[in-house]
Amino acid sequence: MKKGLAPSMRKQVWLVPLCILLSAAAAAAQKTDATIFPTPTATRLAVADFTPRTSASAETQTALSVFNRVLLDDLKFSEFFVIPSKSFYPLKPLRAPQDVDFSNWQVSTLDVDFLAFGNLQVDATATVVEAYLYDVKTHNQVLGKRFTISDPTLIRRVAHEFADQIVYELSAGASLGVARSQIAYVSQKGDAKEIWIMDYDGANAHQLSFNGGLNKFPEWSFDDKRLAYVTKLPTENRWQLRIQDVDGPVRDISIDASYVSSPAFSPDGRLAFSAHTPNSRGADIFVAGPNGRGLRNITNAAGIDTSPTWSPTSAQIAFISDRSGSPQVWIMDSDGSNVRRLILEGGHCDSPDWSPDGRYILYSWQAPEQWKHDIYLVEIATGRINQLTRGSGSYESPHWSPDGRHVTFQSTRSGSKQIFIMSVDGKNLKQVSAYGINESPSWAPYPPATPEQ
Amino acid sequence: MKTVLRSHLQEGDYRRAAVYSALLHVAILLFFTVGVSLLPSPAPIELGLGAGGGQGEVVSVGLAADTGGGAGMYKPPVTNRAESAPPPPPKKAERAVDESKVPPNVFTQEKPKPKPKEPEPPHRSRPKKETPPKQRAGLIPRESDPGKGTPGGAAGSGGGFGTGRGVQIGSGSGEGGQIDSWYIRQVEQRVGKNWLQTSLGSLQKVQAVATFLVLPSGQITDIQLEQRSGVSSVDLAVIRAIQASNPLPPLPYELRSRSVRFKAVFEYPTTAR
Repeated sequence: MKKGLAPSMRKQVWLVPLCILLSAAAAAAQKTDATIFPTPTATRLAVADFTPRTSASAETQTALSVFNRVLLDDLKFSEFFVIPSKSFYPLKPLRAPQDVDFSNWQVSTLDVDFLAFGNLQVDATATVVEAYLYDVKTHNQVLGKRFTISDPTLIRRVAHEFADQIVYELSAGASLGVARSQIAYVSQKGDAKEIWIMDYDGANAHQLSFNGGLNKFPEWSFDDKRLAYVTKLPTENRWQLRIQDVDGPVRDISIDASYVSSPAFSPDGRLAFSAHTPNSRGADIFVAGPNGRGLRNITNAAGIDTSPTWSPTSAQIAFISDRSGSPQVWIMDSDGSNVRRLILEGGHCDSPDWSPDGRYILYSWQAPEQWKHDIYLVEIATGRINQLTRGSGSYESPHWSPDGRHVTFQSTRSGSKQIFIMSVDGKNLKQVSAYGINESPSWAPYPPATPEQ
Repeated sequence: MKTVLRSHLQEGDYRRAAVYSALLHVAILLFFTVGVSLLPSPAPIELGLGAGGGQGEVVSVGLAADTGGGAGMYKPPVTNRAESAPPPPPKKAERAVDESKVPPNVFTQEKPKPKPKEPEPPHRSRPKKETPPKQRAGLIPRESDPGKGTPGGAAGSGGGFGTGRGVQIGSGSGEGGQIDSWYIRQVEQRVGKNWLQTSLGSLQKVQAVATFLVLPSGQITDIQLEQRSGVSSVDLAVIRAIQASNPLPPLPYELRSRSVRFKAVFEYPTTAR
């Protein structure tokens, strides 16, 4: 043994480094030790009160209280987030990113993923809002916006704008948000029924038509710039189809009809409506070009066909027809072919509205032997029906929000007919009209232009 | 002592034995680094003794052909195991790892700004990537990862033997099985908590796979997107889910001798495991 390694052994010595080398190479190769299958969870968002940037003047405080309330309401109504109660928030006011101690927002009572905060100042010349959204876990800034408005009364619009940006950003673009959107509706004060427009939350209600007659069935064009509705002037005894720009000008579509109702713009700009003309057998669905030209009766059937609503591709129309006996929801191609009945229940259906994603139709339904309507949702592909409203009062005229996550309708649940909004899952019910009788809401397809920034 | 050795081993015998031994080692090494990839992956045989979610004494025994097994604190599977283990994942998927590396600081990069609103077609369908159906064994899959090995892994050649609370016996170059423990479930929950539902947008179906390394301190490094979802915002959200989980608690004692590489399968809607 003292002779050292035997010659044959020496020849094999090279194997030692080779073994080490191979082992090292094997170690370097990546391998997976454990596989996990995470399940996605709801996004938790904190919305800290915005603070005065420099001085807490009375105007600034007023604007702040409006801004903070509107921003929180918008984000709650969006139904995208779990928003912990503000009573759990750290007391330290947050004015700018450097004020944020992220660990304070990760305590178990909050444990939020994102934090919205910022500051606001009303000066003699302008109102400036600096708004931030931070990822609490990674400390990354998601949004940093500076809004400048000349009129502090526009502060609601800034809150809506920021809320929609948060929704857009955190929903991966799935929703543009509805906070900036508007709802057109019919308001009866005295004998006249006029067309009004309000913000989706009921604020800024203003009158669009001033003819003193009966105005019904407002429906937005898909560019949000015009409304179609029908009018019966006090001096006349016939209904008139009318298109009015949001900023005022009115244009009548002349049709030789004893009755016209429920106009609906298609996404590609055509107009469908129900009319009883001398040549039609009862009320039929007509389709016309954007200016009322190229008018065509596409149902031309016995009985009453009314309440057309376009599919988002403009290729199909759902409508109400009583050709089978009672008013039911039917579907046809936009040229009038392929007519089929969608709802096979009995009772009375009314006012269908096709969802923005094309998969569902909202409608109201009065069950046989019942006195009231409720709102229902039918999945077109499967025919599966969901009831959205329950309880006292009647629920009618449902209309989708532009993001397809919310619904507006009229209800007598609080007494007189009023406008309500809610999430399509039935949560977040809110009454957004109060004075007089308000009905026939139509949610604008897209939010209007953003305020100056 | 030398006398004793001499008395038992003739010099010639020793040399021969040494050469045979070395050759045998090399052969075994080659077998596990190269040969295993040629073999079909057999169903693992595991024996879990003791009750209580990995708290009790647990022995897992791997057969020679079983390249997995041997981990301490093995939690008995709760779901039925497939009759036979699935074939190894396609090689292509592995190659995709390098092609689709995402820098860990991906969130600091400029995010795609919201495009100005355009009258979107009402069908807001996103491009959806068809992903092949995932192949997966029962609970914690013993997915083989052929051709790769690690020293000091959980498996020993010819049957790694892990006894008790994570004490691992057996060295060698087996490719190592997948470990499971309470800690791993914790990581799963933590990453899931940071994988936000809203980030899925309006997608009906999502799948992405990422890997990351957890150092003994709990620090997460080397996040890589192994399989993209086909939607960049979802990919960002997946990376964010891992980043937001950093740091994890330090690795438990039985895993602390090394770093642990996790594979996270982000799948929605979640299918049965």
